[in-house]
Amino acid sequence: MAFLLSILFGKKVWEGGAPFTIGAIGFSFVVSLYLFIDVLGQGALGGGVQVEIIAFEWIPGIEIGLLIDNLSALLLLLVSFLCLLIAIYSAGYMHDEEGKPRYYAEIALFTAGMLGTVSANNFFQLLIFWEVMGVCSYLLIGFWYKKPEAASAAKKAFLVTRIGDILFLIGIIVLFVTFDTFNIIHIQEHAGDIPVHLVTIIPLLLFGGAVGKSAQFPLHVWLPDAMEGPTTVSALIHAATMVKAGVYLTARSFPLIANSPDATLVVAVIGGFTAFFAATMALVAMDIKRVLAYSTISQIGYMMLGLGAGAYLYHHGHEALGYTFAIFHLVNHAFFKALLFLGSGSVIHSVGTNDMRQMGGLHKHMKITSFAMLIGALSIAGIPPLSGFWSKDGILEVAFEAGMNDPSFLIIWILGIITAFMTAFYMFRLWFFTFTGEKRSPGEPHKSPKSMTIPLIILAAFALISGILTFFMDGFGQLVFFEQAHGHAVEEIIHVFTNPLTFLSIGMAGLGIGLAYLIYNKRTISSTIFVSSKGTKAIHTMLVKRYGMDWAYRMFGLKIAYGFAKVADFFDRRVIDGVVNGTAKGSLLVGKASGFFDQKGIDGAVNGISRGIVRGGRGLRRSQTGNIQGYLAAVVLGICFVIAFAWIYIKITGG
Amino acid sequence: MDVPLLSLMLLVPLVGTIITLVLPKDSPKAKWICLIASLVNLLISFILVFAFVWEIPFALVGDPVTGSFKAYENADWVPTLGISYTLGVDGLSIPLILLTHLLVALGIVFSWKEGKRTKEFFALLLLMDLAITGVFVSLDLFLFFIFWEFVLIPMYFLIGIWGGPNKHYAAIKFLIYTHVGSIIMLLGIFALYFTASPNLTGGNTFNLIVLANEAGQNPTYLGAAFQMPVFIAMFFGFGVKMPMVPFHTWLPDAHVEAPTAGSVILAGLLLKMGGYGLFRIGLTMFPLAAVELWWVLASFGIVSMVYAAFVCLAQTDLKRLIAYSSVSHMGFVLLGAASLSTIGIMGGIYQMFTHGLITAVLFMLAGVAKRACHTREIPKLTGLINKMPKFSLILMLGFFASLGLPGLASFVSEFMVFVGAFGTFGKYLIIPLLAIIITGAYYIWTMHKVLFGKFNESLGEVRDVTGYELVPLAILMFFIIFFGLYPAPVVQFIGPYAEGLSTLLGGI
Repeated sequence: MAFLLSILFGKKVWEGGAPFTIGAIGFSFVVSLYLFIDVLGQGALGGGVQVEIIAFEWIPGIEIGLLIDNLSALLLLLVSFLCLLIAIYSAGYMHDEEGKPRYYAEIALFTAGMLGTVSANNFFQLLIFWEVMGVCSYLLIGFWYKKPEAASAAKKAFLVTRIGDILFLIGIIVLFVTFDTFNIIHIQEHAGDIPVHLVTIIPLLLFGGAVGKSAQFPLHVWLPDAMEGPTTVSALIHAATMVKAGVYLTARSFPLIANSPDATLVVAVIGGFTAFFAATMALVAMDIKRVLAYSTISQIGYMMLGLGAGAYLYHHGHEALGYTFAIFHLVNHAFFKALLFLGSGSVIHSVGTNDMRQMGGLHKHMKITSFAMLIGALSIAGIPPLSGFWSKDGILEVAFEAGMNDPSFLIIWILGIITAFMTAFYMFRLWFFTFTGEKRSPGEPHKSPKSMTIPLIILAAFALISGILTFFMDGFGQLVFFEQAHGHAVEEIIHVFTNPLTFLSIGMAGLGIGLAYLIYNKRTISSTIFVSSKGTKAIHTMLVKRYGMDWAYRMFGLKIAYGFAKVADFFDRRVIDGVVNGTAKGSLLVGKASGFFDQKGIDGAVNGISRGIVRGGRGLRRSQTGNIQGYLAAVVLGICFVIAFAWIYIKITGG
Repeated sequence: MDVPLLSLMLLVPLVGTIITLVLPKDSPKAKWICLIASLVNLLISFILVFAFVWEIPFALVGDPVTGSFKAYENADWVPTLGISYTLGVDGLSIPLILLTHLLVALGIVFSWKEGKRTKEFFALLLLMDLAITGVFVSLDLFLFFIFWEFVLIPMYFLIGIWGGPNKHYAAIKFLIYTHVGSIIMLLGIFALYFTASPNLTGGNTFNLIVLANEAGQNPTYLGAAFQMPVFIAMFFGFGVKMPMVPFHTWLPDAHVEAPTAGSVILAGLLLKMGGYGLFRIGLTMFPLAAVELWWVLASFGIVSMVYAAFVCLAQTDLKRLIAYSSVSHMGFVLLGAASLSTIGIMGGIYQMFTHGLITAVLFMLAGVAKRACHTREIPKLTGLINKMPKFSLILMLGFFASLGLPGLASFVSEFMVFVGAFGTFGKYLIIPLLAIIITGAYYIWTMHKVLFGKFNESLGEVRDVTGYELVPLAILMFFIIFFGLYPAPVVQFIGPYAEGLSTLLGGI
């Protein structure tokens, strides 16, 4: 068990080159697989494994080590598997790009960062790897640095997530001051000891970090822009792995959140609202990757909702089902969203544009991609028995159950149901736009190479069966759970299909697909109805402009922060330095005046000294320019001041 | 056998300077002699470090009174006035001594192609080494003050002769401003000598160990009425040096005009003298005042951090930007000191060390930009990554390090400061944390402008970092990454010192 994955990686990172990276990630995948099987083997299903490996004491009080439990073993496996697939895919996708060594080095470093994040045994170490991921994300978004949009997007991503990181940092500091340790297990076990005034604020500060990293409202603005990076990067970092780190962090702080009903509500509200809010923007986006980006934000919102509602129920003595379903959704989403991104990458690779208006009719040219994306779309829409159905439905059910206790959760649940409808609609809008109808692209679309289609097929297979697969392990609740395993496969399936809520959400999904079919394939309903009347047009414009939030952030940065900086700069140069120079000038005047009095010979004793100094000043003035005399005078004045001060001082203390 | 390592450390640069100065004009040997002297000093400081770690007896004549200082040397100088030649190091000064010799040696390498009055230039750099080392090793207030003032002279000439267009103004401003600060500090030293020392020891002495030991025995000696005003006077002197807002305006001017090696030493070492003095004399000699006036330290620290960060945001000169960022980062030192806690003090001292490394890299990069592109104006420097890949990589790493990215050196120190500060200030910590966000913003913005996008063709032919520039940059980057991942080698010195100091302060 004692494999220091991340350290193994750190050394190899900068050697670059595709085969090397793929090999290294492949190796870590094998290690993760071994760990995963080991975890399953040790605890068997339904049991928890928690192994902590302390490597060494970093600085007194902070031990570096690994924490392997069910959650981290699963995520290690997931991350290394996806990184491996996408690194292979990149071999085809990035074939003609410059700077490949840089690309692979950054991908490898990112993998190390992500694996380190999910296996850290303390929050401090987690933060370090967390930031390593952030930097890699920054570099990879800006991979095509000659494109101004890419460079700007990278900048925006870094700054916006940094706001979240600061909250996370404060959270860790507060935790450390409270517990005197960063150790995750220790903190989880003693979660009840947090003093009352910190019980809500600590989990929310940690959640702040998650909001930034996972692009939740109101820090979601960076993710759509991050699509300026290569599609492989979007698939890996900005859909399947890094953005999930926020969910992971929230899951890790689950007992802290569950401590405080207020915190659970905040997490659930942010999650539910983000799910809804991002889905609305996905409805109108025309860039194929941006649709997927909004969809990612929206789906992560579901996970947060699951965690929040789950923590609420857990707080009130129920099983932590929400925790299980959120992680389940994380896994499923990683598969189908990576699939969708890689599929869209395949389309972009072949058509040469991101704009859906220039695609269309691609089904007959690229059948594999088309079918793979259809599977992905069905899965995300929540059509049984595909993977997305099981987990999304579970989350909604948990939200509904929480709503039975607290009506606020009911509102969130309604948002979630509407989101399910919108999700189905925008995904099929995307699919119909791209693959059916008239061919709108100039030039002949070409097929994608094998290194790109094979990962697609593998991912499609997972999107198909990863939901069902868990039932062979007696349900996902046996695999990842909080405190105690729950559910058995048969009961779970029966429960799902006897619950009217299930049919409601399937119905919503079906409705969304049907509507998209009518509008974008059959065209029996014209898509212009969305902009026909004034009211709908206003909504449409608002959605296209992303509710003006990007604009607001930009204005805040440009006008307020930069404006304030300008004022501060002016203040510094004119006022503070003005006082400094003014003092010098003033002293010069005093010096001159005293020189004048000297020459008149008013005071004999002072006379000589002053004259000497003034002469010295004049002598220096000849050799140097500037207001040197002023400064000299300042010295004189300063000395006088000192003497006076000393005299008064001695009078006071000595007397 | 006792080897007077510290005296040797002072003697080597002195001899080196003298040899250099008597060489004929334009002798190519001059810079070699200076380089060798600085490397010898670096070697001595490494010996000192290892002797300290492994407790090798030959280098470590312990302090006879308490044993807290190592490599202790003591000789009478003017016994009638209580002036002695006392040297010694402890956990506070060891990292700073190491930093001093490292930066001076690397500064000499970086300036290898300096063409104007070469001999004098390198001799002055070496003289800086002597003066700053003197400040960090002397344990007699009189000696301390001599070195403290002596530092100004070589720096004045470095700025005044090798500086930019506005050098005379900058040099004079630097000299007078910090001198005024020193004078007021001198007043504090007199107060210690005339009032405190007879009260504590029964006689007049400048010996800092004796004074500190007595003050440690009786931390509330003479009461707040004595300690507070004297502490404020001393604090003013240190604060100007650090510098803290609003006494910082000499710094940007001095930096913009100073030659690169001068800037490196100025920001990397001179500013640290302020922090060093604050810990060595301010907090140690006036524990009562420090405990009473922690909020003053904290306020100046926080204002420096946030205000200077905002000013950074509006700068267009790369060097000026880095200068203000130094002001902002030195605010951390004040904040750490103000927390009065072990971890905060540790963080403050470690911050001085890490900031020394990082700011040296940044100033060297600004120097490279000036040499390669003939300008430091950020709006004119665009798309450099296309032409200067090595420069861009180091700039990115340096900026990331300076904005406190985890895994790089300054994160550790800033984190410690915040942990310490949170324990003391609680929720008010949110204000200094604002500085981190702004710092991130101005570095990312600058990076965005300077590195990415299209190359500004009007810069003409530019070159990348060359050999003699790359060596110091690479060495510093190595240390920044190393101490970011594994700070224990330095923190192990600081830890016990900080613990002792916080125990003293906690005993009030």
